[in-house]
Amino acid sequence: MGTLTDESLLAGMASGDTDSAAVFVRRYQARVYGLAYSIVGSSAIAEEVAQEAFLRVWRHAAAYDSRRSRVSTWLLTITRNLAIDAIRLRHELPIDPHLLTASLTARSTDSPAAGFEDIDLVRAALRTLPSEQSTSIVLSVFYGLTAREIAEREDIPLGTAKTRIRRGLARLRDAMGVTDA
Amino acid sequence: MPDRMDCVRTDELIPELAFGIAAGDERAPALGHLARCVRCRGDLQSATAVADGLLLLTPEREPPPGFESRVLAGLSGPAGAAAPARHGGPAPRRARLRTGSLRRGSLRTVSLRTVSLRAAAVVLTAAIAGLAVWWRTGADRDLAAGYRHTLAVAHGRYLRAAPLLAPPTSPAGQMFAYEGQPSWILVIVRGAAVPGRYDVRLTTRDGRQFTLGTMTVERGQGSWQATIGIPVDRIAAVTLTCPGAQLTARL
Repeated sequence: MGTLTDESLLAGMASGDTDSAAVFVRRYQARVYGLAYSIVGSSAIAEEVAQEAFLRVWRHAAAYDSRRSRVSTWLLTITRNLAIDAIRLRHELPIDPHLLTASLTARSTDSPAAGFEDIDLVRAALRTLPSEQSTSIVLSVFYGLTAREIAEREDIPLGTAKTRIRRGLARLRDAMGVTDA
Repeated sequence: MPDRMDCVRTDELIPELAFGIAAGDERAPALGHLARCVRCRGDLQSATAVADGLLLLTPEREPPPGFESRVLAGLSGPAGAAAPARHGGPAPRRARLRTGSLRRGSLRTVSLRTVSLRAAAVVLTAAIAGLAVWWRTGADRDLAAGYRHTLAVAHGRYLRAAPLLAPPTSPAGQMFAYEGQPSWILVIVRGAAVPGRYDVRLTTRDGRQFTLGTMTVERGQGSWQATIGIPVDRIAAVTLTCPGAQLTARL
């Protein structure tokens, strides 16, 4: 069962198969927990977030639409949203965004796992951004801060915050070779 | 045909839409435009691909021992019980009963005409009952339409309310919680016995507690509101405490 595709495992989960769920959890637990921990900065809360993420996938497996995103993307987006919910209550960022950016852009010695071959491309793209743009991107993508919240936090005008996000995204798109669908 | 100006406005918002951080008042018109404009949808899709890629950059980290078992136990517990529709198992009880009644019916000698008349009577009765319900629930439908409109203004999903009680069950106000973008709570105190500054605390259904702020109650009255970053359905209670007094609203 370890060789089944993510989509097959999700189909199994949609029909209530806990064996499929076990394989799915084993396959993604380090990635989901890693993302949650990177955002919330606490092992207890990260575990709670990761558990809830898998529970949501289990509950909504039948609603997954492979035309809209990959399974891994769907799972990580759920995890991200739950982690952001968890940190919003604390009204402060548990991890300095500059440290998180440094962690995201650090060179990895491991070979990317199957399905994640583009990681190095994304990492290299983020590394090329000016610091103020990468910080704005990290604050919005990983901490869910709105442009207005970024402006207040960085003590810059709202327009400048929006411009940093926009320019950062444009450069990432260029560097990653992402073109309009 | 999408309006060119709408394309310009939507294009400016695409990074924030892709990152899930667009403000509610800007998001609604942009989503309306995206539903009509293929080009802007393409832009959003490629921007979203970048955001998705960034999520992959966080380093993997092994969760604490026993994590997998706890997740799987959760799936089969009450929280996971709402899960997937099971296919391929035994037929649902209601379906089996219906099958049984059909079998019994087939043993009788009921003429086609009788069946048709009975069916017509059932349909007519249902139609009359439906019309009566439709007429009598007009006010409810108007109320529902107004509620939906109210929610749509701030992209809300629902609004909850609960009485604020002083021990044991004395009414002391109300608490409202709105699930939207942003989500918020509003606490209204009417008739608190103790004046002063109250700490406002939120307790989640899993037992975590968060202090949201403080509010002032004078002459038994006060109001306080705050945006919250937690889904309303995870709130178990909101508690106001000051020396000598405690007010609680349970959702």
